[in-house]
Amino acid sequence: MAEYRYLGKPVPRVDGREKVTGKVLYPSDLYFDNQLYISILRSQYPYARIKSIDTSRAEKIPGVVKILTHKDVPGINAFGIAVQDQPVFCYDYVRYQGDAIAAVGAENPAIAEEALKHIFVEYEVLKPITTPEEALKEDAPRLHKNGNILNYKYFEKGNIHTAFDESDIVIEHEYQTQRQAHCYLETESGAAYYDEDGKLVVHVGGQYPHRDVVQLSRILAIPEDNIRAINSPVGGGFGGKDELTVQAYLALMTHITKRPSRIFLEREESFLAGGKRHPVKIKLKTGVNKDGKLTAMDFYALSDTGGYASLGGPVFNLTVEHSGGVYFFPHAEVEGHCVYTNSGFQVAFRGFGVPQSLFALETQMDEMADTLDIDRLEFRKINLLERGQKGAIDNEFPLSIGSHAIVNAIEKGDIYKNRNKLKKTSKPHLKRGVGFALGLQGAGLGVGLPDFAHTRIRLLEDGTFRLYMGTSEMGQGNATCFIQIAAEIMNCELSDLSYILGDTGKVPDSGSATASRTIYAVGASIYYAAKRMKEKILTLYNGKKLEIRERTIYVDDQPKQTLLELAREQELETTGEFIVPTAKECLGDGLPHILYGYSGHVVLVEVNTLTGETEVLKAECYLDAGTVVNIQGLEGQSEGGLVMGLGYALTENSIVKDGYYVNPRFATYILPTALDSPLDIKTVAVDVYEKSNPIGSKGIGEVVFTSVAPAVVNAIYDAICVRFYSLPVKPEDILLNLNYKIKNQEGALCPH
Amino acid sequence: MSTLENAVSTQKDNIEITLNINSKEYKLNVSPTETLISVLRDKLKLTGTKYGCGEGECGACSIIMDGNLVNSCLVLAVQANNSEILTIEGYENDELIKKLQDAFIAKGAVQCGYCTPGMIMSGRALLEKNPCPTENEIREAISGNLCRCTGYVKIVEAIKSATE
Repeated sequence: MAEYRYLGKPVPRVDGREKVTGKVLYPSDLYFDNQLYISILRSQYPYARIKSIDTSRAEKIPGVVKILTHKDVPGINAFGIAVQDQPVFCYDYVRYQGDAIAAVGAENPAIAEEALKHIFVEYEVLKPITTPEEALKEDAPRLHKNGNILNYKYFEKGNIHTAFDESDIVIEHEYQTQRQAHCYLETESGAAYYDEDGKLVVHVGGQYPHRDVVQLSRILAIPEDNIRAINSPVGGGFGGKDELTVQAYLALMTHITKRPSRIFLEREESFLAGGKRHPVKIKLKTGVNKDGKLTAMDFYALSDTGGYASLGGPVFNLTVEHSGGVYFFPHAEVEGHCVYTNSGFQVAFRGFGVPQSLFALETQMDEMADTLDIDRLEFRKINLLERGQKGAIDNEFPLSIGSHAIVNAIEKGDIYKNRNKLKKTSKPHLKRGVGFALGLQGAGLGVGLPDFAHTRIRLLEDGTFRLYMGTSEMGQGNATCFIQIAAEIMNCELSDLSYILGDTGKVPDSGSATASRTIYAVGASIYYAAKRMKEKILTLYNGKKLEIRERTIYVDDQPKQTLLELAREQELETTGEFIVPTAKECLGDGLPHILYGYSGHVVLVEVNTLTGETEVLKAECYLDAGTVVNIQGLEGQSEGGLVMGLGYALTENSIVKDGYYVNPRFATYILPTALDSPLDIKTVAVDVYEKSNPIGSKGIGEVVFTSVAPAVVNAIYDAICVRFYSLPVKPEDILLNLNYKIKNQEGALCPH
Repeated sequence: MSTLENAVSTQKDNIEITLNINSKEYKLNVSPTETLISVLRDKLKLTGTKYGCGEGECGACSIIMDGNLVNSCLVLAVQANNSEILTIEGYENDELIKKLQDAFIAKGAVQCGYCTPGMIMSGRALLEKNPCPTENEIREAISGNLCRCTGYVKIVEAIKSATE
């Protein structure tokens, strides 16, 4: 491995100081003179026909300046990244409880809030579709003009029927995953105003400012050139701010009133209106022979996108694509529906449809190993997909595969090696178990979607360099990594570099901050821009080796000029581009990927059989990141992803009953706190080099999460011999199952 | 009084209060229903204190009032009358906060950063009362502060290292 000056080092975050001092301005921190405060009127019902909307009384309230409804949308009254089926303001139907009907702009927030009570909407209340099964029924009401099926997929490889007939063991279960809320600490909020060039600025925490401009241009019917989106910094995103959230309301209010506007969603409104992770029901049948070789898989998934599409279609593609996990199935049938219902609204969320599939598969992998009486890790090893073999949807894996290195590392890790010792407890009511799971995650957007990154480096008049990138900084630490990559290539000091991110008025389009793509794609474009800058400077001095230290240029170890002197003589600017490689053959919109990141999670849990509570005592996270850019940032993502995964496994569930959100508050939607999270988390980056990236890197923003939940559920089984097929596994579920076991005298609690 | 008149009247800034914030005295007119966080953020533009939930569940708005850690979203402005308030912006005159800030950067305890000011204030409140806390005492002390990014490990490490 090459010796690097910055890559792989724990370089402190470049935005750390402004964040710890409270000086950094998030979108919710923007206040303007003469600004209007916006409140949104949201649907009272999950499904209803709007008969009339009367704003006349609210308009008369002193301090109310403007009330917007569908009539005020000059352009297309719809948005959606993949399918534009979500109205900015509903006019005929409301399709989920958080749907927007009107927006009040008032002189202060209390008046804006009060005015909502004086807008009268006459509804014809309709019976909501509350489950995806109902949505598929022939006589179900059609929620959208093309019906209720957003995405249907079917793939067949070999012949599963004969393969199952010939298999020694066939196991079949139904799994259910829940609706998970993103819970970014900063709710959807921000401001709109006009800048000095007369552009309409929409400043909201988001994940792809250039696409916000496209969507807003359609809604406002004004040229893209007249709109500027600023998306950074973001107080957490995790996929939930990829879609438009509050941008359209701000843009319309300021465009129409010509006054700055501000919006800030309260937590409850954020829960009601904001998208969630797709709940998915999975029927999984797998066959295996006594030698431990998997024979066939029959996978059916039914996913609930709620009222609108957003990225539900692509998310479901990944659910299907990743159904076989990191294993080789000679025969597979993979099928599924993603449907509209009136149960909330689901969007992109870290893992993008993959954690659902992996929960089913990795739980079943343990059960198959146990049935065969083969060591669970050994069983996985036997079935790991090798280069040249095809995945469950007949997809290819031509690039780096990290799962082999991960399994080897798990085997040498403390928890696996010492599992028998670690499982001993001093108290009889405490049962310990070890569980693990392997994961993978397609990187980039997949075939057929524009997947590129542009960046720019410029020498400023003050003798420093500046990086310009379209990407948003949501906390994942990419700004720091970009600076490290540029400094590595230009062989300069970190302090020679500054950056601007996520402002379409100032930066080129680098694509979305999603799909584990920013380090891989944007990082690569920085690499090329930096390389060109280095070559430009070397050409000026006709040399071969560049070093910049103390703001002085050294070429072939000879001091030449200060950066300041050079900046006064020359304008130096370079650009870098990267196009994410895709599969030759498209297997359906966006499918498949060819680049995957890999993970393995190992946990030690302790189940209290008196209270049903599960505590995760210790965790190991094995990640295939390719070349690590910043080890501290990697650990940070890893630890955060693990704890988010513990929440997914054990407590988090955004419940929608009959179309209504049950627990839209932090008091009832239970996030892990510091007391619920283990301090003993070890992150291991396995040594894999990804040759399609100039520095050998891959993204890890999602693999840190994807395989956590099945590892926890497998560990719970290891502790108490109860297998759970739905998430989350709450204390009451554990107690109920233990009581059932005791009542029916079903064997010892824990035979191992 | 109609709900509308009521809403407008409770908005009137008709109570004068005095607050000492970060060693600076402020005389302010507030409304009876105004919260302390609203005074800090909306009136004084001290936006380092964050608003995460408005009901004391997330700790993003944690500040120190008369030596006690409080959620500023749960304190009415009038309740804070004549009190001494320390927010993240007061770091320049506060060695403990400065130490914590350096430790948060060094240990990588910051990601999106939205919970960070509240976490630092919780850490500050802990360290003043208990200069050498154990890891579990630190976990306990920040258990009212939610963080969705970091998984807490590096935050606990940072607070621990600030005591060294």
